[in-house]
Amino acid sequence: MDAAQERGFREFVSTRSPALMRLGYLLAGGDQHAAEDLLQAALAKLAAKWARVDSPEAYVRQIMYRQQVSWWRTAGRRGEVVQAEPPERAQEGPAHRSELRMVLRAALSKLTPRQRTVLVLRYFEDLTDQQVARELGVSVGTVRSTAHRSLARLREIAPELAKELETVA
Amino acid sequence: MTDLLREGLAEWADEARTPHDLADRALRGRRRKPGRWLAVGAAVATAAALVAVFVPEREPATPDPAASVTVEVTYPPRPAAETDVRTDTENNPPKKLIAAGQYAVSAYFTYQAGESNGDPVKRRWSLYDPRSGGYEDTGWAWVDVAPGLHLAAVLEGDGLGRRVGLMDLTTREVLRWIDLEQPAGSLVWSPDGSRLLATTYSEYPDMVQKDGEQHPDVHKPVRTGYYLIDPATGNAEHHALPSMEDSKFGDPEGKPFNMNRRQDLGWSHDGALLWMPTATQPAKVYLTLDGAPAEAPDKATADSYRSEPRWSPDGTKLLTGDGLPTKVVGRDGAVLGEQRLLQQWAWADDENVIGLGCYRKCSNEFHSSLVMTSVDGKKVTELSTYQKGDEGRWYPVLTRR
Repeated sequence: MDAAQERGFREFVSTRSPALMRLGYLLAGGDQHAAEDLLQAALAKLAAKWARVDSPEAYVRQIMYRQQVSWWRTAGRRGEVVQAEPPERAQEGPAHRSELRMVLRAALSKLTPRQRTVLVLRYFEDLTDQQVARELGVSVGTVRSTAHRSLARLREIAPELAKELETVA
Repeated sequence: MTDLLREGLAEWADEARTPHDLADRALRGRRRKPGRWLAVGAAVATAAALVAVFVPEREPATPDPAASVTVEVTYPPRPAAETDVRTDTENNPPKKLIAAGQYAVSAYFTYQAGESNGDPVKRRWSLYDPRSGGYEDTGWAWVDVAPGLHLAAVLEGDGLGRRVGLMDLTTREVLRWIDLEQPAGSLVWSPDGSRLLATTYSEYPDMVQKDGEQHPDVHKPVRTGYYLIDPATGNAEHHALPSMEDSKFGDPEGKPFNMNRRQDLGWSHDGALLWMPTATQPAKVYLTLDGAPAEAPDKATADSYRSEPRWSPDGTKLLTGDGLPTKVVGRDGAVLGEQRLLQQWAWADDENVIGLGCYRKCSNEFHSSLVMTSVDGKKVTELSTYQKGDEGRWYPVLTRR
């Protein structure tokens, strides 16, 4: 990387890192340090390929998504998922929307990285199922079934969200 | 009602703090926390090393000297297949045989997970016992019942095993032991019940992965290959076949990958090919028995993560996968019926499907039971109790009767 390229890279990081940190923070389930690691690793890969990458932001985002995918929890065959910990129940009763959001955060942070990634891509990045499938390198069916399971899991972890989430496809 | 999710995520993202030195860190490899960053670096390095190491070329099969037995054993005769429906909706896990049409639950397992991140998650197997008509708790590392429900292969060991027993299911007598040089982690009978396939691993594949705590070995490739075993003679041939690689940036679109440690192999329906599991679609990548790449015999089967045939026994109807509702289609693709199933597992007969049905209105998909349903979804027979959550969950294995 020559001096001009390094300036370009630094400018990209300084302009885009707030938005990328927001994404990383959600993918990491609200863990600031894990989010920094995730973004830092993706930026290091970008730096190594800076001269050859046409769309740096798309490149970094895809690395971040796929890093999460490669951290997907190991699942057994025959369709089962190893769940070592029973779901924790959130406190019952919060009526206000802001409280519901806190419950939602706690529930999202308990999802597996795979489940959370699909929901973040769908509802934060606003990608279609086809786009999510392309970004993650999986089938549309896998995206849909993962999204379905993720929402079911949210409802299971936090029953008070069930009503709010029941009509989400 | 996606507003809560959208607003909730956007608001949560606002709490992220952007470090001022991200560009420096990326350019100079500076570390926020050496241990953590090294772990990420190590994971990347492992993936890169995998690319270099994983060469999907064939290696010659090596006869296993530890498994050179010459005397043939006589199998107990395969009984005439029954096709009745047997349920146990009282006991959880079941105490009586569960069966529907051409399939029976020949065994089931529960998971026994360790406490700490990275501890093994072992399976505890219960095996069909024709003497009692129920299931017997066993200490085998793995069991697989041959079609006909008269013979079982059992793996002896703590997680992985180096000795395979051929057991008469009725007498519970082990007819033969077959020693393996390389430790195996799973066993599966060929569809005709004449051969066994054992997947071998360098270390036990299933581990506890706590949320938010990435274990450095969670995606370590541990498959070493597979044995093809002729249980009658005790002859076992090992073929090397490392784990399928994980995905990496820059992979061509559609390249299959699998990040899981456990990657057990299976048989094609005619027993002529083997398949390895992917984490992508299609769910199976086929190999010849020698381990050379092979064409998938049937797209629908390759797309399914289940090993049972997707086509009905008369070949006219096709299971299309998971859903709620699930669909059965004809040869022309026309929908023949919808079922309130979470997953379609197998054909009980030409008109009925075995699958996972959920409780009442299905407000919770983890509250489910094994059911048999007609293609049009109108007639549903509960085969087992409903199970809720993961605590104590048992996982049935279907075998042809």
